[in-house]
Amino acid sequence: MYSALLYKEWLKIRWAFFSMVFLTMLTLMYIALNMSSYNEFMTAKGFWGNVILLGFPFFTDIKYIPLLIGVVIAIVQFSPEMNLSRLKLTLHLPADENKLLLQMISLGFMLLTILFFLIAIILWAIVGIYFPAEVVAFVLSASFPWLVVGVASYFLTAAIILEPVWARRLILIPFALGFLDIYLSIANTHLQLITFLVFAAIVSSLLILFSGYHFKRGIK
Amino acid sequence: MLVKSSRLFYLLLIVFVTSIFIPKYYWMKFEKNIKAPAVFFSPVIDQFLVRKQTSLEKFCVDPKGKEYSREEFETLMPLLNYRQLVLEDKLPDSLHGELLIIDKIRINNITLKIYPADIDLSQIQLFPMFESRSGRVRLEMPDDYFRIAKRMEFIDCASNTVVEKKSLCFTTYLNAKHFSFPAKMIAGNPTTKKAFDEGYFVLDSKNNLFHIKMIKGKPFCVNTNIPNNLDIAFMRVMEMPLKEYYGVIITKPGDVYLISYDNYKLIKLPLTEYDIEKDIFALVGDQFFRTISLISSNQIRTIATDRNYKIVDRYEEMWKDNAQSSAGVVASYIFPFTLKLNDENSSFSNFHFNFAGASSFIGMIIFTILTYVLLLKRKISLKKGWFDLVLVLITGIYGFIAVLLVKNVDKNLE
Repeated sequence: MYSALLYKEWLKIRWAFFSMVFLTMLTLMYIALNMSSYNEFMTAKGFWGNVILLGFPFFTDIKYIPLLIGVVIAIVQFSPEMNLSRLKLTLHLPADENKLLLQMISLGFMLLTILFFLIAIILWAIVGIYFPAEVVAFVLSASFPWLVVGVASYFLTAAIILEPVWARRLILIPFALGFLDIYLSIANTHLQLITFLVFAAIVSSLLILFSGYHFKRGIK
Repeated sequence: MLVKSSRLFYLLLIVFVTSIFIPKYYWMKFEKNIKAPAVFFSPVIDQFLVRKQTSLEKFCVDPKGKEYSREEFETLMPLLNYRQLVLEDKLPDSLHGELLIIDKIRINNITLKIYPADIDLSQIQLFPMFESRSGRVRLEMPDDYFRIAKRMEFIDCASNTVVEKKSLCFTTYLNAKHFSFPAKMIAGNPTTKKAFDEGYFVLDSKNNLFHIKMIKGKPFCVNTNIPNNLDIAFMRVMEMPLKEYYGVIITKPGDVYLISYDNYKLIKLPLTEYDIEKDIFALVGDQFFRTISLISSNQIRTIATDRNYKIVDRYEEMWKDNAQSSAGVVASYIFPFTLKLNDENSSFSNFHFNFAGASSFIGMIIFTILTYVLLLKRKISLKKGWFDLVLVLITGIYGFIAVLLVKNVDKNLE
């Protein structure tokens, strides 16, 4: 049943997912074009000086893309479920509802992880054309929280959509925004903080169960 | 069980977010911009002058409380304000028995300021090696950057590849000077906006400090023989036409040394209790004196020394910082702790907790009682609601907000 469920979820999100892959590729291409242009007009050593000595942020176009991807995938996956309360059918399957919900978001989580991994590898490749390993490491560690926030935004958006009562949605939304803002406002992050934030992003998948619990029981 | 842990995560998420944002918004409203006074040492009256006011009539005061206008201040600090005094034709001919010559004043006027965030700095470990004797007036950016890992490598910017010949030349030379790879710390002044270049001071893996630069394309490397047990936290190199010292070393225990041009002999500054994580270090020098200050959020400690760094006078002043203001006292009752991820004293994001101390217990107990009442109203027994109570007992207002907004899980429905 798990594979059938996954297939159903995949049918819902595939077009949105492909558009997001397309958007990501366009953004990465734009970064690559920008770099080639900086390299020409600043000259290579001018570009290096700006990046290495002055911290010129040439790669920030990617910053909000994973966040957007997480939100979009969650919306296309879960908002149809809420129309006409279709989710009720799924939850009446002869299986544990929590397990079903976790299986539903596991697909999005896997796809996002693959896509974000791809972003990291492509960033590595295009930055590596112009810069040595030290700069590549700097770019990857600076953009890592932006990738993790994509996972968190997916889980939180799903929980917000599945929450049946608007009053509780309005409580969840500001805290979700605050939580996501944390990932986007940090720089030069210490290992212990980023480890915590990765852990927190993954555990935020649990929130969907609380919304699901309200949904199934019709708790007002 | 899963639903309960889901609720628990929700509560913790709210605590995490509120402990960052509520104090942040609170302080956005109530934080006052409290400026530390500027402390000067007048070479004319051999006394400190403290500048707090901004009005031109009461420009500064001396430690006895006498006030001076801006014009008086400028004549009492003729070396600092020589340009203004020259314009008004008021610059004295001599001071302390020495003739005042403009070029000499200019060379002797030095300033150095080091912030805690400079010490706790994230930096990409690639550096440009300038040609320090090019025969040109201006310094030029080189075409390559170096790293000192297993060997010293130069990487060409245009091709992003290692320049083998130059790398081999420098590595061989450093090996001959008994440099032990890799480098632990590299400090230089990588800018072309300086009068000349002194290259880099590099701490090798055995804590020996080397001076490395490039002269006419050839490597220059000297073991400075500075003791290897200093526990160096930070170095700043700054080329100054005065050529008294190459730069400054700050150690983890808070000692400050100048690396002099006299065969790298260290000059220890007579400072005590310098907290490198919180205090700003400021050194201002002129032809006759050095004024060295340690500035924290609520205190300034200044010493004036002669040119041999012997103390001639001291000045100390304390004031109320934001934490001691009435807004700060109120905050210490409301917020048991505040969490900052970005701190002004560090360039790294990390958990920067600030615990309020004993006064916050009152708030925590009040919020715990409120939570107890809330649970009674929700008809949640202590057996089921104990976690909420413990959460509020530990996190005070943040936990209370979380419990207030998030209903408990009804066991019968789960």
